[in-house]
Amino acid sequence: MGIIILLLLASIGIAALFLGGFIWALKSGQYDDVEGPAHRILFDDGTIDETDDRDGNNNT
Amino acid sequence: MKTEVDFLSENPQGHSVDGECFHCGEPVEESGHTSDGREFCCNGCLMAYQLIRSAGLDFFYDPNKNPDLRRKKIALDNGKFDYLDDVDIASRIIKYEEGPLKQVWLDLPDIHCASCLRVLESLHRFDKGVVKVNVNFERKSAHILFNAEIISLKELVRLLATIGYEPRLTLEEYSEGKKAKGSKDLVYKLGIAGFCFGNIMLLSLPDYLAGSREIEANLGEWFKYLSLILSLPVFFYSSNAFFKPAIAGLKRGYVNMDAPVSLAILATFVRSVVDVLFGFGTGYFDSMSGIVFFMLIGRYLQSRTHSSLSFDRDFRSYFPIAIDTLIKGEFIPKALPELKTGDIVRIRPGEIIPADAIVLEGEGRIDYSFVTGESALIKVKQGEKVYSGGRQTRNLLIIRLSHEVEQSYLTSLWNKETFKQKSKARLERFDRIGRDFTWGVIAVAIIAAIYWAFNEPAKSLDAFTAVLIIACPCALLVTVAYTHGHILGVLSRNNFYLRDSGVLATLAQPGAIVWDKTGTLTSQQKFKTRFHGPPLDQEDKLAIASLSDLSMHPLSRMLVSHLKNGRLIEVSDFEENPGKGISGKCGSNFFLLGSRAFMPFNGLPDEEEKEGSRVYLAKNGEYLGYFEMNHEYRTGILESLKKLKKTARTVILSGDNPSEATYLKSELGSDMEMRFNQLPSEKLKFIGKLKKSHKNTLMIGDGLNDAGALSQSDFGLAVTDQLNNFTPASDGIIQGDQLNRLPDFVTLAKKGQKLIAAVFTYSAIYNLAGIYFAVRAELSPMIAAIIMPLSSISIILITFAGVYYFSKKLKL
Repeated sequence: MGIIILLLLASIGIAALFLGGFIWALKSGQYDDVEGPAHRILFDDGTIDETDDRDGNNNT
Repeated sequence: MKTEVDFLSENPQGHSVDGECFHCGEPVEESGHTSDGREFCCNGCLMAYQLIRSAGLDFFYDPNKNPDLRRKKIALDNGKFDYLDDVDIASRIIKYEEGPLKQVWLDLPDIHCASCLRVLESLHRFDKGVVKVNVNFERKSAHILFNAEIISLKELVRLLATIGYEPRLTLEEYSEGKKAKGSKDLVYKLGIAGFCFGNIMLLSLPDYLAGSREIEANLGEWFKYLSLILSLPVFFYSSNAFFKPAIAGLKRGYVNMDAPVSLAILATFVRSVVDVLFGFGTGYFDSMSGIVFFMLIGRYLQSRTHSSLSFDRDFRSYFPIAIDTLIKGEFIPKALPELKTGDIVRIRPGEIIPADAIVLEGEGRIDYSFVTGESALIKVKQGEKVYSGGRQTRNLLIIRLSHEVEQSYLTSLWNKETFKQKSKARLERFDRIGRDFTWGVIAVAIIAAIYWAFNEPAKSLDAFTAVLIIACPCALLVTVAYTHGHILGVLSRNNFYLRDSGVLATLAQPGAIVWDKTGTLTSQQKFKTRFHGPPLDQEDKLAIASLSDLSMHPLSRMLVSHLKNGRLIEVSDFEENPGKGISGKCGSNFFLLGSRAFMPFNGLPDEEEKEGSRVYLAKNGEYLGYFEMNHEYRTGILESLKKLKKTARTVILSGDNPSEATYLKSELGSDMEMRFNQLPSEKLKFIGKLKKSHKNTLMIGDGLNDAGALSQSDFGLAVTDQLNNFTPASDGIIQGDQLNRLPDFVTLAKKGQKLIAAVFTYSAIYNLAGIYFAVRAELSPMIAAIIMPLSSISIILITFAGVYYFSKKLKL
């Protein structure tokens, strides 16, 4: 019978991990704008991340 | 397919059609604005183009990549954002700062496509001072981090305006601060309740299957305690969504709908804990977490609001944040709430007059369409009065305020507290049901408990708690929440957005429907221009278009768009006689255009009925005929009106003159109720009177002139042609081209109410059967545990299928 309890704890533990993942995703704002990223992924020519520009600004 | 670079180099004209502005696509009326061989209509568009081009964002002009791009005509007005230099005002807009780095959230209502997103997020290419831009597409807003040593807030806002994304900076946000972002709280609660509910169900399953047989004692103990532990977050965290409003209600002295729910949750939990700890049974943790989970879903469905729409705008949304005020001989921007009677302020063209005032200098051409619905410009001279809400169209105007902002004619319409009364009344109705329900349940529970206390004391407590658990009004709440939630979803797919689900019941049974005319029944954008007289030839048409192009009068603008069939020609000896008409020479012909009084002839057609919408024409001293301009009625709107007229008292309430009365009567039948020349305050009064004789008054209107009436009615519906435009405070916002489907929307709401009634009867039978066994203390834990989630699930399925069926049937 012990095995059932072990399995039970394991399954609840795994489910809790997923719950944690969900809360993390919510907290980090991944559900704030569900439309934008769908468009953003199609920017193909790298015009967006010109990191040198941004670094320059951060330093000033 | 061409790549971006190919597109621009192979075809230097781009998609610029001859005579059209390369940036905004409007006709080029004044040549001289060119760059890279492309033509622009004005300096603003030219500048925007050069900015975008220099930032290397040519894709913005690629029609292959941006088929649906609507670019805005750029109007540059250098002094417009000067007030942002004021430290006090700027500090209210800037949300966070760390050294020179500042953060702002700006609403950019013009965001509409992927290219907007891309251009805005490349803003650092335009100006080194911009560090990072994060666009929230759903909210149509952007989070901007910028370095204030390189770019000031004013310059940032101007940059955005230059490329066509003018931020919405309004007094409303200035004075209240932005509303807290939509609460994620409910989603956390929902997630946790779902997790716990699922696991508790898993643990309860053996119990259900075992039936009367005992499951292994050792395992049973484990299951019970695990369920208890899992139910703790549900009870102490997720259930707060019901406890808090219930307690808040009790503190203010009334019982609301959350009270019986809270009571049921509390009773279930306490009894279950007692059962488990003292070994009486396995408890009802599954039912409790099920109730909480399903009700939270319902709440979530109802609370899905439309974050880019606002239903609470008042006059302050329409007004600028600050206005140039004369302080010590200089015009300095001053925040609107700080304006006092007697202040001397300067109104730029395009700005709205913030308070009633007297003109000191300059000539006003004021567009009061916001306030009255009439589109003709009103001329005001020195010493005359101007009213708040009017928009100055041409020159600078210097005025002295005679009232404070809050006390002006227009704003006083808003401050009538009608709004608060309404939401209170609505709450009361729902709370009354909650109160009766709660007392009813408690009464039944006490009677059962007393009965058993005399007959078989051991069963007394059992019966008491079982009644509380079983009689939880969650069936009613879940039914209402799910049905309304689904209907809201269907409606918003059809561009009809409701403030909240509470107003659906009002929409379902409109006792009286009041329509505004201009902008509501008629389209704001479409005009019908007809010429009465012998047909004009092409040459004359072009000459008249060229002539009227020189005038800013709205009727002239309509004539231009109606008649223009080629490049405009030169006009000599142009003369404008304000308020009367214009004259000028095109080629060898001399034209006169204007009102009837402007024509030097007698015996012209009577204009009594159509005042303001006719333009008379004479060529070389000979009368030719007149143009007649009418707003075009929205397609299908009159049929809808006829349909609605059968079930509800329908009234047309217009600020306009009665020139359309005969046409409307012929279309809608002679019994159609119509009132014309209604001032905003009269509209308000009319709605007030109507409310006394009719239940559920529906008011449909647009613009500020209907604002008072919209908030006075039981259900105010604001019509807008562009959803990102400002709409007055209302209970619903509908896109203009969907308005003719209103009868279908009403039918759907009606069916929804019927569905709720049917499902509720079903679940009431369910619950009554449960109570019957509960009062007899015969309800086994197993049955109770199965009944609760099962009834919730069946309700969800029935409501979903029902709403789906009705909306398909209505083709929504």
